[in-house]
Amino acid sequence: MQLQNKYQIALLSAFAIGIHSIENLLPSPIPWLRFGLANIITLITLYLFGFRAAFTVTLIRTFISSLINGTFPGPAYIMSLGGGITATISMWLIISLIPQLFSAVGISVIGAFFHNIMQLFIAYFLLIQRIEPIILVSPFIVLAGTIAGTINGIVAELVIKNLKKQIEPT
Amino acid sequence: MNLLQILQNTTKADRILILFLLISCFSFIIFFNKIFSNKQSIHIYSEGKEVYILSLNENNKVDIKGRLGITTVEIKDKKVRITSSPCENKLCIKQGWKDSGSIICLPNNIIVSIGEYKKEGSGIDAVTK
Amino acid sequence: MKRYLLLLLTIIIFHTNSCTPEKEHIYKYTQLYMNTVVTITAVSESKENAEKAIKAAFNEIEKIEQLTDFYSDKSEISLINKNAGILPVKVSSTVIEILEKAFYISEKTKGAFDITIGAISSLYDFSKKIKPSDEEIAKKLEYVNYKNIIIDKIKRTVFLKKKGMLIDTGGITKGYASDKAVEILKSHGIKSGIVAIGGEIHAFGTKPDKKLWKIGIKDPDSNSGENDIIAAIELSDSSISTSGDYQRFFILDSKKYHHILNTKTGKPADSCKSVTVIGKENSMTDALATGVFVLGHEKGLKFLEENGLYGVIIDQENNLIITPELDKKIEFTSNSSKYNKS
Repeated sequence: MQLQNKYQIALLSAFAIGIHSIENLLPSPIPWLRFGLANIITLITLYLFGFRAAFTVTLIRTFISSLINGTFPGPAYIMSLGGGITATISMWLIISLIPQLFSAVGISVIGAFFHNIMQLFIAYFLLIQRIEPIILVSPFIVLAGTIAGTINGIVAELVIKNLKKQIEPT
Repeated sequence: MNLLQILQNTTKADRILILFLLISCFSFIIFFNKIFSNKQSIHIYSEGKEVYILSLNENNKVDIKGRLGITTVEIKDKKVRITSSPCENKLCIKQGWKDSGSIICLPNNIIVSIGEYKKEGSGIDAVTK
Repeated sequence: MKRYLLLLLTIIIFHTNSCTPEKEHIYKYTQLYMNTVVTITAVSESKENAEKAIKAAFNEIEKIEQLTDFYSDKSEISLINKNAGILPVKVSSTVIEILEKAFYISEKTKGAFDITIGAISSLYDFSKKIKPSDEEIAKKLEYVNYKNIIIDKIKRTVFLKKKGMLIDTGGITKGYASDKAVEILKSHGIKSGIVAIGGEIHAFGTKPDKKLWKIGIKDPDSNSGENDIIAAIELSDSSISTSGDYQRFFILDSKKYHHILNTKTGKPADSCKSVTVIGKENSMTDALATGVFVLGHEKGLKFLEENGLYGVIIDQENNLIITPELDKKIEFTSNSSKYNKS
């Protein structure tokens, strides 16, 4: 059981890193604004294997990806790490505190929202130190995050349902 | 399992949450846009100190005390000019109506600037001219 | 909408460029001195200290202005002028220093820069569109010779040999004052900043994000924006000055009369539109920009190269010439496309 868990974490982390890296290759109008596809993996892990696994996957993913992208240990890494951790914790809290209220789609949106908020915070403290641009830009960031979060949530829901189908009959 | 089913499987809370976020984002964007589109302001500096911040959208007439005496600034129809000045050559008055840049009266040490005077071109810290 | 895009862009620029958290801020204040706009920028962790330093720097500039103002009866320069051909005048060490620097540049440029041009420049009035006749200029040319300024460093006196000579230090005091203002800022613990007196700029240290200061060079043909630039250059611990025919001029009978006079003819120097010089001291670049302008684009370029200085020259035929090593440092804007780069 322990061993299998390790394999699963390794595999999920690999998926997450892969998705994260591919996403980095995609052209983006603004380097900051990413779809956050790796969050799909975090969400799936959270649903299927629990908080500890999801948290581990997030740590591994942000660390390895930043090494690959050469952003370690710069602000981009700190933002990615901070956002990832906040998203994981916030999604887990909602799932465990009010389990039936949201589906994976809602959880994903919540994760994206807190991810964005954390990144804006980090951007403020680390990079800009002026509150005006942060406040001005935040509705755009949150808007993009909500749309991306919804789509990610739908994908995650699909994967989770399919995986559960495969697991349950056996 | 198709997309439609997934959408049907979303809870009421999901939809309310997404709707709430979308609406609040949009309203914030509109709100900010309103605030900042009206932000076209006139900054008046006398002897290096900012003495007035006025809106370019409101017609106005103010007197500013400078090094030599009183300079009168008039704002009308989103334009600004200096109407009277104690300076000798009256170059500031001759500049007439302006809707961008700045009017400077050197003798009376007055700067009337549309937008903040400190602001300079993109990423440029100073200009040799 | 544009505003938001700009903000997003600024965030990205900050995002990609800085690596360490900084508590330093940029403080920028503007005052009017020396008949121009003086902007002092200081980087400091404390607003209080920045303001104190900037205030002291402004005071220094004001002090230098009072000592050197050509048009004020109370200045030491007027006192020297009034006693031309009569007797040596005791002056402050500041004025001695300025005159020595001016003398040095005059020697270097073989008289292309010469503060004794005051005898002729005082005949022009650029706000009233007054220019002297050829005879008037010819009469005064004998008074233009920097070698007739006698500086006695030990007694701290200055004597103009001929009655009728007039010295106008306007071509060097702004640069000199900005150097002094930088010294004052440094003595107040400011490690980086910019002092810009009109177009005379002295930048030191780096921005809070460790980037160099970016200085624009004005487009001489643009009347619209004050900040229409043809190029930008990144500097630290350097000075940059520009002399241009657009700075002070009037048009009479469709001919342009500007304020940079040829010391040999007493008439406006007619080879260049604008000359920018980059060097260490701003007093030097200020005077040299004028000197090179008077020398003309060919001799001027040669002069810059021989003295290891960077410079940008735009001549009357719209040729944009830069000194050889500058092309790596300079970044042209779209405004520069109307000039022929060689």
